[in-house]
Amino acid sequence: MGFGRYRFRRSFGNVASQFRGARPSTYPLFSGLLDQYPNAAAAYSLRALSSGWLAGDVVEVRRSSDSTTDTFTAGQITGGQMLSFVNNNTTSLYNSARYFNGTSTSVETTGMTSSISYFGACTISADIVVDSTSLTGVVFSLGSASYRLLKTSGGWNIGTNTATGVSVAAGPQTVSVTFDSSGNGISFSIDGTEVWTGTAPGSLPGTSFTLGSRAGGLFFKGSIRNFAITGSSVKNFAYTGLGTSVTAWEDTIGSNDGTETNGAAYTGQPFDGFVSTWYDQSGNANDATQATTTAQPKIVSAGSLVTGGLDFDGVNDFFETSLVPPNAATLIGVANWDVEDQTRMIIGARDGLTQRSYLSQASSGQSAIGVSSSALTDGHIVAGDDYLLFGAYSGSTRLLSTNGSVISDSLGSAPNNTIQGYSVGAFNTAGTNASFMDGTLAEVIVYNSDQSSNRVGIETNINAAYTIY
Amino acid sequence: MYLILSQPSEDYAKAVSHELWMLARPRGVSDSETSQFYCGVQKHTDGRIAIGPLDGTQPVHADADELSFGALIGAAITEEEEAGIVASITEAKGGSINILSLIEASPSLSPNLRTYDQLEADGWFPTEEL
Repeated sequence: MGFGRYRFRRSFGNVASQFRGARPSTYPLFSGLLDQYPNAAAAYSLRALSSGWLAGDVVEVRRSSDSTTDTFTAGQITGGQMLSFVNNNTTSLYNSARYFNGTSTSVETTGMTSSISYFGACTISADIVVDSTSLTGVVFSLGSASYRLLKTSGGWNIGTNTATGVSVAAGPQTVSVTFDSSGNGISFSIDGTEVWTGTAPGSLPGTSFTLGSRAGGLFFKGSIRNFAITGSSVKNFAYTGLGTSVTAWEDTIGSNDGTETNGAAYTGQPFDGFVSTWYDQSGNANDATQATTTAQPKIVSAGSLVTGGLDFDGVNDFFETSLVPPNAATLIGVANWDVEDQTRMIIGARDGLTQRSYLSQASSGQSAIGVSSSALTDGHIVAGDDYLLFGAYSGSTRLLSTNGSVISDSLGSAPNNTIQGYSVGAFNTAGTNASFMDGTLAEVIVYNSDQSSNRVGIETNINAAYTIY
Repeated sequence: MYLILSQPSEDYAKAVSHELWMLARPRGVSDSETSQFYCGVQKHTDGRIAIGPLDGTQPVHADADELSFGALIGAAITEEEEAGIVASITEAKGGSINILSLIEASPSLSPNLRTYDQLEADGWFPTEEL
């Protein structure tokens, strides 16, 4: 009997084992917070909170480039698939390609002719990453408007400004324009497919050739690489567009090196991702949703996964839920505020002045659990620090734990809410949301019961995941 | 920027915001998606209704129904303005459009544009002291 097989049999029969099956390194036995402390009324997180949710979607994400959406599991967030979706599959270019910022980046080089009045037939091609379908930006141009390709909100234009009628798509693509011996653009291809033919005249050529701009304006936002000009009667030159601001623009054919201004390493800067649904992992389908695009919290900012969960802007970002506050409840949140001494909600709902339930930073800057007409407040919140707040109330008692430090008092009365559902990241005051979260939320869990007897275990599980204190 | 609507109806405001979003993700494309509104709806305690923020550009889908949007806002603008807005959206299909620019170009709508700070000073965003 081999050693591995022995381990399998021992593992299989040992109920305390952390492994299952014959390959313990591949199949660790996962036990989540909701496996250990079940019966939550709603649970939102970017991690899987139970073994049953390992394959379940945790978020629906809308990407900024073209507003398409997709759903993702916790594993797909940590595994990079969500980031690839938002960044239009350009993560492999991170820190190798160069980024054109749309306001001041360009690469200057000498033109492909020695004379300002000389035209020549050629093909100009490049691999590019387009930020979005909006904004006007020049990919390349000789002088101000000759041998030029530019994107506009109305589509791709060539030469002085001939509209091809071809829509601009966000993301990576290969563009190629063929010019005749008079400098007219005559063919335009995207990803190897000819999408336009015609005659697009240019203006008088110049002796300066620019990538990412023309004449100091119309800057391109995105990335340009694998650039090449080829033609029998013009100067041929090519750039990899990869590496440093110097090596990226070293001519790989001759000695026509380009000079980059205000460039940077590409890290997906053009792209943001927003969460339209934060799925409820409790099994009660109390999904937290935001149908208004301008109120959706951010999960990817400028190409990078937001640190600390979902970023709420403090202006109008929040999620709605249909979960009406129960009269005995536990509210748990993992938060990091950008501001101090302001009322900023993790979760909250209010039917009336004496019908309230919330977990927040209060206007005093303290952590707070509010029930009915009063609040229990404790430690002072420091902006930029992580916090685990655990609030519970039932019967005549109320408890608040701030990073494991506990206080409690007597509860005057139950909230007796019957109408408004909790908002996550805001206070749902009779249907109008206010006190918007300014900072990040990584996890929000609601039990419709007093879980104070399980507080230490729940806090230990969460703190082990986020290392808050 | 925010736009105070001439018709103080929350349902109407939601319909305008929804039709604005349908320009980017029309019916049949966005049916299974959560996102359904381009911008938020703000209510004043005195009954006025505003939509916003309206800044930035948004894509216009090739299948966008510009006539439906034009008909929805037709009562608040002149026929010429409606025709201009519809034409602008038609031209932008497959590209993108700046909603705020459309509104600013409409003499009937532009006087009702407000900044966030102006609305806040006018009591549009009351907060409860907890």
